[in-house]
Amino acid sequence: MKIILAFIRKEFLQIIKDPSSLVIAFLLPLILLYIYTYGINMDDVNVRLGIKNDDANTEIATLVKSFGQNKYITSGIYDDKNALYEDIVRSKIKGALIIPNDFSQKLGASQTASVLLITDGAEINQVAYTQNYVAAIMAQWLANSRYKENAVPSKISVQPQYWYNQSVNGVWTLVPSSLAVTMTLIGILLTALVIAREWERGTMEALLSTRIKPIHIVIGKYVPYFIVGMMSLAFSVFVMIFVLDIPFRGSFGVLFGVSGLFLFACLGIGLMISSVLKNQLLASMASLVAGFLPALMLSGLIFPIKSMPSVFQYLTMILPPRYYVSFIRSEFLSGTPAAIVLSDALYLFILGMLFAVLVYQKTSRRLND
Amino acid sequence: MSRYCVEIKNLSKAFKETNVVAIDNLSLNIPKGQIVGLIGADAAGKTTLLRLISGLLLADSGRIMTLGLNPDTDKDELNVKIGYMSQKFGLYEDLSIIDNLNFYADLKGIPRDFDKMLEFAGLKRFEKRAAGKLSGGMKQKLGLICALMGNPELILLDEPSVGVDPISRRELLKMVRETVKTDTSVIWSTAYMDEAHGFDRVVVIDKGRIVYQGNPYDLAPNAREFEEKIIELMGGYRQGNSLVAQNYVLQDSVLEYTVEALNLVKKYGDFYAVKNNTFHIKKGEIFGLLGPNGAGKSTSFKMMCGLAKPTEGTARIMGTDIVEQPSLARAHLGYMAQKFSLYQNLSVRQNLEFFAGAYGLKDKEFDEAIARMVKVFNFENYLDVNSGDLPLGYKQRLSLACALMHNPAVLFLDEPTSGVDVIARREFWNHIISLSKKGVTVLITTHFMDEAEFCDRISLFYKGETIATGTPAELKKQAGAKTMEDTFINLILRSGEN
Repeated sequence: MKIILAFIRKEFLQIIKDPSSLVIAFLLPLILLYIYTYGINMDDVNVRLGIKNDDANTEIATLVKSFGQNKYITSGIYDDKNALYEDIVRSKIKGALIIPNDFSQKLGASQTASVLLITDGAEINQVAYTQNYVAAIMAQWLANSRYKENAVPSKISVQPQYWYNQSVNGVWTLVPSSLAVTMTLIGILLTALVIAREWERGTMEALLSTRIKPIHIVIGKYVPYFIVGMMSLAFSVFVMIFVLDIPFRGSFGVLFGVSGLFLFACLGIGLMISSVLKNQLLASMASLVAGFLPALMLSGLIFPIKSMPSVFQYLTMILPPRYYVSFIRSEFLSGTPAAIVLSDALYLFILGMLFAVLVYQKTSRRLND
Repeated sequence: MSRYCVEIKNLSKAFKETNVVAIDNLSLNIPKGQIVGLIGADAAGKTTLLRLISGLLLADSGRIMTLGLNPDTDKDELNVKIGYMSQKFGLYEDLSIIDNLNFYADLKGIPRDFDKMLEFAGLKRFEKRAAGKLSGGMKQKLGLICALMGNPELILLDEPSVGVDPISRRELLKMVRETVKTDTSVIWSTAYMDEAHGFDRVVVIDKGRIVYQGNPYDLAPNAREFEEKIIELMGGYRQGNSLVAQNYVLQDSVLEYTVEALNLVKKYGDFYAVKNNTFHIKKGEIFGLLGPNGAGKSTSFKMMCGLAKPTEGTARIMGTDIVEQPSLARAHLGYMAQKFSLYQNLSVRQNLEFFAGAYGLKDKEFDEAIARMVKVFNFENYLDVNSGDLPLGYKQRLSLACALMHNPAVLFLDEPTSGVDVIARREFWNHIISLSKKGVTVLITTHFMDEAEFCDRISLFYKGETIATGTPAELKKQAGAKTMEDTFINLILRSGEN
């Protein structure tokens, strides 16, 4: 016990003396929260649209005008087709709408009248927004225009109701789930270096020749970084709830309990990387690949797991972030649904123990184990 | 109870990765209560033997008993009884001296009482300083305190005096002699023959086998003859013509002074690392910079080759000002840094190829330069080994090879022989002396006082200032001493008194 305490005290001294670990624990979450809150916007965005109207009919002029009045569209009027194309190429505008000169004529004759919409196919999200906006604005215009008898009134309608997140505010789901990325980064980055550093600087050789045992080293590495990680979690949650006004409907006890399990699993991954690679540079690269990227891409945070190829779906099962993202979303937005929380917590616990056993086995007693 | 602290029978150990047989059917009994010197060439198996004794490595075959315990099965019990200091000292560089000591004391379960030791080692007033910011000699003393702590029955020290000046070396030995009890055994591996000659017993190991063990005085009455005997035991060294010098192509120069330091000053804040250093080195001269650890030798070196900007003054290499035209001046220069500064994860061949390319050698010149270096430094068996995995002595050879490849007119060598065994040092100095005869100017730092004798002129450096300059004979006369080591110590102490 005394040995473990001495080891933990030494780790804390090193954490305090090395500002980079405190930066990882407290500055990094702030930066990530800022990016998730203000940087990544998955909600409606404003589209700059260029319009070239070849139809001289005055009624069509009102259509052009209604584009100008929409809050999601910033429109510019072009007379020259080449100027319009050029601005698309230069990304000055994201879409170009060309109304042909026979547009009103066809509408008047109750034929199908088409407009041309050019968008940048490389930006898939933007294309979808632009198409939806243009279609909606034109439908609205048609319903109130001289040609309204051409508009077919729909006999069915959809009444959407959004549970858990009534205003479909992307920030509300994205920011809490970003805890998964933050916690993975903290858990893995903090620990990926610490065993490798002992090998590189030759302190491991000195440790192994004292009466310290692998179990002491393992516990002595887990505990301090667990404490730092939980402090960092508390800090992030505080910022989310009291600064960013994210609603929290769950229980803090459950939140910290399950987050603790998740952190435990992440620390395991980090320590495993560190004790296997024994090299700080390699370990930090590996922690990015094994920690950050899966947390971002294979956790369901950004891309739904159900839409992944089945190989990746299976892969996500051994990755802690998957369970944590599922947990954290429901914990923040809908309270504590026992079924979800229990199964997520159980999986996280199993993974955490699995990694801990692996770390223990990989901790050497000699130099050439 | 056995009267031996270590009993070894038919021990063998090979490393699969490099295919090196480190210990070859070795049998050895080391009596208790003595200071035993472990001597051997680089890669002779000294470190491996110490690790096998402590249980940090397991043998492939054979029997080993340390303090009556089996290092394989009784490692936990054994760890409590030994104090081990590796070549890397095992210090936490970001922690202070006192934090390091507290940590190791807690691990060993002994009281945190080191005032006496710190006082003795002269570290008391630095106890809050981070271990990483200590000079080489101070780190070694701290590592030694950690190993000595708790009165272990057996103390294993892996080259504790590498890169340490004569004064600090005497202090290290004194620390060991005065703190260990009479029944404590010490095994101390070293490359300093004068040091080994002072031990109770020496074990000479070569290619994983014992070639001599016994009282050093039985081998020779003094350190110098002892060294000759050891060289003989290790296969002998026949001084031939230096192939390096033979193949050297030196550009003609009419300069009288090829290296000049002009009022060099380096200030860090209020602290003068180097104060007003001036010297002129003649073409073909071997000029030695001597001084204790932390005297400012390396800082002077770095300023002279343009790696650190002087606060004041400048240096000229082959007449070119290093501050004004650093790249032009450096083109004349071969530099070997104190720290191993080659690419550790590139092989020997790749390192040589990289430097040949960096010096702008092409085609035939490129191939010839590499072939020459491989031949003169015996790299054949190590070509595909990563340079980071080389034995210390081979690392130094590789560093020298990379510094020499472009036939520079001036060589700057910063402690080139630290950690290098006696034979390799002989060979190394053979190259240096032959090169200087050809007209290459050499500026060198060293902690080996016997090497200082090979220098044409010496400048003794202390606390950032030159306290004496002259030929070895002149300095001895000035200090009123017979040996170079006493000269060094007398002059430093005398200057300290003023």
